[in-house]
Amino acid sequence: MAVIMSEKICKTYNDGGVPVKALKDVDMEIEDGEFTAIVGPSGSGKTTLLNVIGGLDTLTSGKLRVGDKEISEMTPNDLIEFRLNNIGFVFQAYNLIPVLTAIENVEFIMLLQKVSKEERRGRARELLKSVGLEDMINRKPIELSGGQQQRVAVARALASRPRFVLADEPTANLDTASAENLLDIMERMNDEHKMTFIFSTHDQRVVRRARRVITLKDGQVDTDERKGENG
Amino acid sequence: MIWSIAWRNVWRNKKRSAIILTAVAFGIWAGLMSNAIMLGASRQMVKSAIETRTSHIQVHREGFRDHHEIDLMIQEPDSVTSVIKSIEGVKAISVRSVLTGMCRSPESGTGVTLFGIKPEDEARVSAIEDKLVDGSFFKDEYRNPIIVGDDLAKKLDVGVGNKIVVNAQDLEGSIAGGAFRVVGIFNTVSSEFDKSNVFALRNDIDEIYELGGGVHEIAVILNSNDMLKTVDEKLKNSLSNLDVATWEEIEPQMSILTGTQKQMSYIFIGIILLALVFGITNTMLMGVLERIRELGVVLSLGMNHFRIFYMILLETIFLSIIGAGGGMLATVGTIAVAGKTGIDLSIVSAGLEAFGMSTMLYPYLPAGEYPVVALMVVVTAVVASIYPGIKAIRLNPVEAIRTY
Ligand SMILES: Nc1ncnc2c1ncn2[C@@H]1O[C@H](COP(=O)(O)OP(=O)(O)O)[C@@H](O)[C@H]1O
Ligand SMILES: [Mg+2]
Repeated sequence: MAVIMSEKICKTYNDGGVPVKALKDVDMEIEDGEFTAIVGPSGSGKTTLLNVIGGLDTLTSGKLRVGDKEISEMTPNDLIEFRLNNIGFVFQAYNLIPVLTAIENVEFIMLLQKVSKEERRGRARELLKSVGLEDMINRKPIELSGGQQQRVAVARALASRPRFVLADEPTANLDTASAENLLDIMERMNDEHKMTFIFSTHDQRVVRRARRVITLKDGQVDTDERKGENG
Repeated sequence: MIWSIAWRNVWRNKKRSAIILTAVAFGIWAGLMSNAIMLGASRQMVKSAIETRTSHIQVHREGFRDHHEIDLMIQEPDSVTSVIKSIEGVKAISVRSVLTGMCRSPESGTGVTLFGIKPEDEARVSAIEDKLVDGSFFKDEYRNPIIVGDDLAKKLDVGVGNKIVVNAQDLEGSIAGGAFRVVGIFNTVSSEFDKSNVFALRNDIDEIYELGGGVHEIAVILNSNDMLKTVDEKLKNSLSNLDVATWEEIEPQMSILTGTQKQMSYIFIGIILLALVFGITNTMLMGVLERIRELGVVLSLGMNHFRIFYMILLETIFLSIIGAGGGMLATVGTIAVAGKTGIDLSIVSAGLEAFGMSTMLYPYLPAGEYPVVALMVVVTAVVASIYPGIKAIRLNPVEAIRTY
């Protein structure tokens, strides 16, 4: 069953009077629980695609359904609420609130969802444990390595129990070992929690791990391949 | 948790926060201290006016206060004094005869008000005895003793032991002259008062000016100024044919001064806070601009505009309240010290004494002023947070994350 469905979505930026077409008539369907990589060279529209799916950016034209919500018809305030309850974001770097500890960063999103204090603590501890940071829950972001910070960000993205986790080049600033480790964690989370994962990358190490790879080129879908059981 | 985020954000840029905290603290301290000095000075003025000139309440015949006419005496003073003494809150009274006349020494002369008093009563009502700088308060056995202010003594060029003459109209309208011996010299904070008031024994005055036992003035001291309104009301009721006047009515300029002081002090603080608004706004704005990415991230995660504004507001309030709290503590400390030791204003004292002010100033601030100022600081913080708060919620998360 398709949980994300786009019909001829376009996004045009206005770059100082010059229109820049970041997405051109993208048609795409993503199934529930898929583990999908969006790949393509820099400037091909990966970030823009993730942003419109996540309700961060508005569409110029086209129709986009995410879960049971018609993104293209929502007001900015609805979109904030939608993001909070449906999307887990992981950005390329500096995802965390610097004044909060690792566990507080994970709790923060649940606080916004008005989850009770005890449940927040418990879930945050659990998630940090599952990303292998149980010993570092009280560290501030600055006291964590880049890889550890990204793992906290993944834990936070899952904390709100979203249907979708969108990660924009999550491994771009990581060394190979950290990148592999993060991918292991994301894969496991995808298996355990059955959330739909979409991540953008132009890192071949990461692309190999995806079960479905959508390639963008100049704002359009170039190729779209699913790997078989033996792929 | 938003509170704790806001709190920690305040301390992120320690140097910048320290600067604005110091500015707020200093502004509040300066504002409160100048209020404390103003209030302290006026409190002292009122105190010395009550102690030396007006008492808490004075009772006269209707019209006497206008021209001090000698025949406007209080009838049946004994029954009047027993009425006054029966009222709760009255501590002491002094029954006086009051004449206006010319005071002469071999050297010169000047107009004075001559009070006829009973020393033991007067001592409990006015502080003239405490203000003696020479001689004694009618302790030595002399004929017709008189006590004068130091400024008058200087003008007449007399000292303790010298004789002076006071000429005044008697009841028939003819001038009577009495020779007095100076037995004491007082110095109050008001040189105006010291120049023109003299005290003698009521019996002597009665004899010399043939008053027939008549008196003009009953000065009343209360247990506390807080009882002024109630006692005044009772006296006005029971002595309806007499002129009952509080110190505020006797010296209205003084009560206007103290009455407007509170408003003035808040206006003063308000002006300081208005100036601080710009500094606080600027600090908060810098704080917002240097964490655009972070704000973009929390906006992306789903922190709504209300919460973001609330966070910025809390930060501003923390910043302002910490600074103001520091300023208030400094004020409490300064007043604790200076309120005891006093601030010596003797450099400008000559000018101040003419206004009835002491050269030693004891700053004083009623405790009630602090919460009001704290509230004003919170309002200031709210105002100062509006612009940075709007900046923060207007951020486009996509732009914020893309470019920072
Ligand atoms: N805010 C913007 N203003 C102008 N042009 C933009 C803006 N955001 C993205 N673009 C342009 O849109 C295109 C796609 O960008 P992006 O989605 O960031 O690509 P990718 O993530 O694949 O590198 C690029 O040409 C980029 O320059
Ligand atoms: Mg990108």
